[in-house]
Amino acid sequence: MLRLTPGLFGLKSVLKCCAALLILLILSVLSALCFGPAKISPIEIVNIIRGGFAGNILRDSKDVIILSIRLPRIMLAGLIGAALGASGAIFQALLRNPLADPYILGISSGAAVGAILVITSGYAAGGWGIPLFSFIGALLTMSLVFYVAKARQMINTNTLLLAGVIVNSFFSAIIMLMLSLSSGHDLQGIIYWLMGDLGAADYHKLALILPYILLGVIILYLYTPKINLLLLGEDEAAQLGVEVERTKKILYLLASLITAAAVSVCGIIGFVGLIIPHMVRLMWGNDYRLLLPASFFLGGSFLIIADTIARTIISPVELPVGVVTAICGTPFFIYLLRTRKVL
Amino acid sequence: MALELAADNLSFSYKSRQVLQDISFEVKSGDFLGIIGPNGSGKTTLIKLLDGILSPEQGHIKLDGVKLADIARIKIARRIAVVSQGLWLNFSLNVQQLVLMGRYPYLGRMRFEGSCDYEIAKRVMELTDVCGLERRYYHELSGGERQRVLLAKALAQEPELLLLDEPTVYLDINHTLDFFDLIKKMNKEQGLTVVVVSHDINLAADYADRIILLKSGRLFAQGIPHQVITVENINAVYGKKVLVDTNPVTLGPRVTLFSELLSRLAVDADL
Repeated sequence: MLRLTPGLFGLKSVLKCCAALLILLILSVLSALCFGPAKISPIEIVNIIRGGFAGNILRDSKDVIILSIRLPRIMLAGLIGAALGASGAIFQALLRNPLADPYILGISSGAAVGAILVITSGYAAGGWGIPLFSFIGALLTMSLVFYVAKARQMINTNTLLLAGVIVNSFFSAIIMLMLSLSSGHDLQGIIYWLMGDLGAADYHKLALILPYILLGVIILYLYTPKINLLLLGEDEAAQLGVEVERTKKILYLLASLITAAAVSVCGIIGFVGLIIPHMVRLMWGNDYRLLLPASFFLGGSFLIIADTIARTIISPVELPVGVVTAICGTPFFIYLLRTRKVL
Repeated sequence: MALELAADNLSFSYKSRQVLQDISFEVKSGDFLGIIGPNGSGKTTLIKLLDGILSPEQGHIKLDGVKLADIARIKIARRIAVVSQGLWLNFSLNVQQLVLMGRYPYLGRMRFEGSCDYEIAKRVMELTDVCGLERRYYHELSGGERQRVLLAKALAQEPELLLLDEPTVYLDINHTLDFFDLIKKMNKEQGLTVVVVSHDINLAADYADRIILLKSGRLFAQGIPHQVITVENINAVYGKKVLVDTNPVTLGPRVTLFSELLSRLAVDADL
C-alpha cells in the first residue's frame, strides 16, 4: 500500500524548519553580542538591549559598545549573510549549476571597480562614496551582462554564464591594473574591501540595504514553485506551465539586485553564497520552497558567527571576514559531502 | 471532454535552417496518432509546437478553436502533458517530488500541494507501477523506472492529450512494450488522446490508429498505418529498400529492413 506524506516539503515542515533556523539566528545574535574586547556580561547585555527598546540609549560606554558598535555590525552581518545565502541559491537554480554563487556573473568585480575608484581617488563623500559607487558598478555590470546575454528576447543560460564569466574576468583585470597602480596606504583598504569587511557597519547602511534584500527575497519566495520546475530544464518547466523567459529574467534581476546591495556595503564576502544553499540541500533536499528561506536564515547565522570569529580571534587585530568564512566553511562542507552522497 | 488540436499550415525554422513546412493535420479526442520520419525530419520540433513551447513562424495551432499562443501556459499545462526522452538533473530530486511537480498547474495560492494532489499522485504512481520508489532519487533509477516516473508526472497533470517524444528510445523491448501497453490501455479505456513521436516504425504501426510520415520537414503522407507504411513511401522517405508485410500478431503493417550487403552475403554463403 503506497503512502505518500509531504515529508519535509509541506507547509508545516517548512514553517518548522524556518522557525528552528530563526531561533538559531537569534541565538547567534545574542552570543555574538557577548564577544568583544570589552567584557560585558550577558545579563548586562540583556538589560542594555531592554533599555534600548525603552528608549534609554547611550547612558554609558557599555551602552555605546553594545548598541552602536556591536549590534549594528551583527545585524549587518546577519543581513548580508542572509542575502548572499538566498541569492546563491537562486543563481544555482537559474544557471542549473551547483558551482554558481552570487558573484559568478561578475557583479562583485563590477562593484569592486567602483569601490577601488573611490578608495584611490580619496573621494569619500561623507562615508557614502564606497557603497554608492560599488552599487553603481554592480548595477552597470548586471545590465552589461544582461545585454550581452540577451538575444531575440531570450536569455540562454549558457550564454548568460559565459557573458558573466567574461565580464567578470575583464573587470578582474581592471582591478589588478588599479591594484598595481595604487599606493601602499590605499592597498590595505582595497584588500580589506576585496576580502569582505563589516568594520564600517552602522544603522544607516543597514536601513539602506534592508528594503532591497527583504523585498527581493519575499518576491523570490513567490517564485519558488517555478524555480523547482526550472531544475528540470527549461522545456520541461515550460511544459508544466511556467513562463520560462519571464521567470528567468525576474530571477536574474532580483538575485543580482540583492547581491549588489550586499556587496556595496561590505565588499566581497566569498563562500557564503556557494556553501549555504548546499548545506541546506544536504540537510533537507532540493525543494526551493524550503531551500530559499532556509538559506536566507542559515546564511545570516553563519556570517554572524564567522564575523564574530574574525573580529575576536586575534584581537585587537581584525581578520577580513571572507578569510574566516572560507576557513570555517570548507571543512564542514567536506564533511557534509562525504557523509551524504546527493546534492 | 472533447478536445480538438488543429495544426494549420505550420512552418518553423531555427535561424536559417527550415525545419518544418506547411504541416496541417488534426488531433481529436481519443486519437492515437503516431509521427514517424527519419532523424532531422522535424518530429521533436513538431511536438514542441503542438505543446506551444515553440511558436510557429507561419500558420497556427488551435486548441478547441483558440490559438495556442493566446492561451496562458498554465492553462495549456492542465490539458496537454509531455513525456520526453529523459531528464538531465544537476540536483537530486526524489520520485515523489517529481511526480508532485505534475500538480504544479493546479497549485493554489499557498503553493503547497494539498491532500487532493497527494491522492492524484498516489493514483498515477500505482497506475504506472512506481510504488515503492517514492523516496528514491531519479538519478538512481533504471531507464525503465525513469520513464515510468516521467509518465506518472505527466499523468499527474490530468491531461486530455499526452504528447510522447520518443519516450522509450533508451528502453529494452520488454519495458518498451509495457510502456506502450499502458498508454494504449489508457487510450482505449479512458479516452486519453495520444500523439507519439517514434523512430521505430513498427512500434508506431502497432500502437497508433493513424500515422503521419514526415520527410525533411514536410508532411509526406498521413492515414491509417496500412495506407502510410508502404514499400513505396518508406523507400521514398528513408531512401532504403524495405519489405512490408502484415504482423501476424497485431495485423498492422510490418517493416523488415533490407540490407543489400547482408542479403548478398547470405546468398553467397548459401551457394
